[in-house]
Amino acid sequence: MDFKGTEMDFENIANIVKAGWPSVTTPKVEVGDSFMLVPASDARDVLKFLKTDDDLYFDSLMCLSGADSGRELWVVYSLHSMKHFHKTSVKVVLPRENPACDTVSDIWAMANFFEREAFDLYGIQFKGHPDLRRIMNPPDWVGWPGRKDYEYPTDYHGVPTLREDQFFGDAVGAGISEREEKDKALLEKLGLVEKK
Amino acid sequence: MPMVAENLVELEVADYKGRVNSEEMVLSMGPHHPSTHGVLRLEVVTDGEVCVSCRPDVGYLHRAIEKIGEYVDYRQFMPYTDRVDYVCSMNSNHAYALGVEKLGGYKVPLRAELMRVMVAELNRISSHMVCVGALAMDMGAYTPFLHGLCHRERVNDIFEEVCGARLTYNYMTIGGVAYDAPPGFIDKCDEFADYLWPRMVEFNELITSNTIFKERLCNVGICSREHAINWGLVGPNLRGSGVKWDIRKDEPYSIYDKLQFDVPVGDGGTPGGSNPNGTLGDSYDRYVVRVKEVFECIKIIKQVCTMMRENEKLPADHPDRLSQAKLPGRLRIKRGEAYVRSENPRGETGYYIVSDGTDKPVRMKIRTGSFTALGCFEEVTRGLLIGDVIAVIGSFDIVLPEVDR
Repeated sequence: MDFKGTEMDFENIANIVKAGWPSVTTPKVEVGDSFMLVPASDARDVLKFLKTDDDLYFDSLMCLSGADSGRELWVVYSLHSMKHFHKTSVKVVLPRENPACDTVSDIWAMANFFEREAFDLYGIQFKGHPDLRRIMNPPDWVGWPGRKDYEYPTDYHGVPTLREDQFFGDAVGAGISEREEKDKALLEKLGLVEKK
Repeated sequence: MPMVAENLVELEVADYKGRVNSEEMVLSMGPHHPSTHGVLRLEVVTDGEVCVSCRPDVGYLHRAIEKIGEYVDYRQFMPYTDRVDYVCSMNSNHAYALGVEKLGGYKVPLRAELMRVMVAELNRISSHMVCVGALAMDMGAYTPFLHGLCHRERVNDIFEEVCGARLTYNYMTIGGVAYDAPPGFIDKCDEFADYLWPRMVEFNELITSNTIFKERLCNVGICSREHAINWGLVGPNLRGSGVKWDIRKDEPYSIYDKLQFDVPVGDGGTPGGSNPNGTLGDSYDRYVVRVKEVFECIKIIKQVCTMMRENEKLPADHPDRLSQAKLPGRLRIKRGEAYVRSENPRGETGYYIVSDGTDKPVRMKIRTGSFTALGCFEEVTRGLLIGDVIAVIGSFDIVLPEVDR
């Protein structure tokens, strides 16, 4: 069957979803893609509806990404329909403390690895995930490296993690400033910079 | 005393073919195994020689490229995209440039688009050469790999003239390409296309129709159409499962809408097709799609050569002749977010970029084809022999830096 021409624009998709879940909002965007803002409690139901509804039929999850906006954490689902050739994007906003939302790995199997990645880097708990382990970092890694307020560890099992030409600046935290002070003291000793 | 038959354990065939119900053993394959195509560790639970479960353990090459993207500005991130997938750096560059250009609303001159498509298709050929060659090598045939690398060297020679590098090109910039075509570039591409077509026919005779090679790949690692979509397989892996989906065709970016080319899909099990004894979505289908794609790439290169010759006739200061759009020194992109994807040799590469109005993105997520291919690995390899697991790794064309980023 040919489904070309059955695609919907974002407005129509959002209106269908809003009719079922009034809590869904669509913020105005200046550039780029429009997205639906869905509360975490409704997210799983909305996404399941988007996958199973015949007119929407988002059978393909293009991308699932965790993100840290600086204030709160996001989980962003980019969806695409191989049948109707339309796209949409759903965003779930989560608090920094104990961020949790329901898994979609049983709706789109592809989400399994992507949720593990979001858990590993942002500490987002996906309730109901079959195998929520760290994927990029070692299992005994401490902290959530993707977050904006993540402090880089200075060593891992006694091995220093920072290089001499580390360029991350203040984001690195304690390790770099200590060394900067040492460098400054050495330069002062050699008379290369003026003492304060 | 010679070994007698009573000492051997009576084997019985149980739930699936080849299963011997012996004691299960956990085998750690990798991370430094030549046939895992990089630093991939497979946790294989074996029963005799049958793989009961095979869990990929990734992350050995995690360099936090996504996090680095939040610390450098839009232009400075381009060299890092080379390292996301070094087998096809040009395509990685292209994917990132498309993402930023969409978010920033920047227009790219025609000349730059032609150059981009030309180098992207050349790089697609050289990437597929590595894939099909390495797959044949994993299956025990060494010669096709050398043939593949020999053709790849020709592409690298062209790229060296274009941008000075042979692996990590850093050629595309936001709003265009770094350098215009060197003298004689079009003739060289044309010549390469003429050279490669008969060589690929020869390659097909050498390996594609080889009975031993076919026997190793047919009916191994089957991924059905529905599963492929659900598992998020992309690119040649998805097309190998019979889904006619190519972003260059169905969601055209750059100048792909002006080009004529076919989208090859797997035809396993179809009488008269390339793989009549197989099943749709097996390893051989994924392999054949890549070989057929090389022919389509050659067609595209021929067309782009003609278009570039037309373009050269324009006066030198014509807007279509520029290789670089005029953009501000520091790119500040308005508050917004976009997910932009493009067709890479390993399938869809998507960049999810969130901008907050400054010169650095808030979040830069890279979605790659190899990562999702590994996601379905456990399901696809269940019940296969260990030797066939190697075939599945090779046919999925996994590049590990792309998985771990």
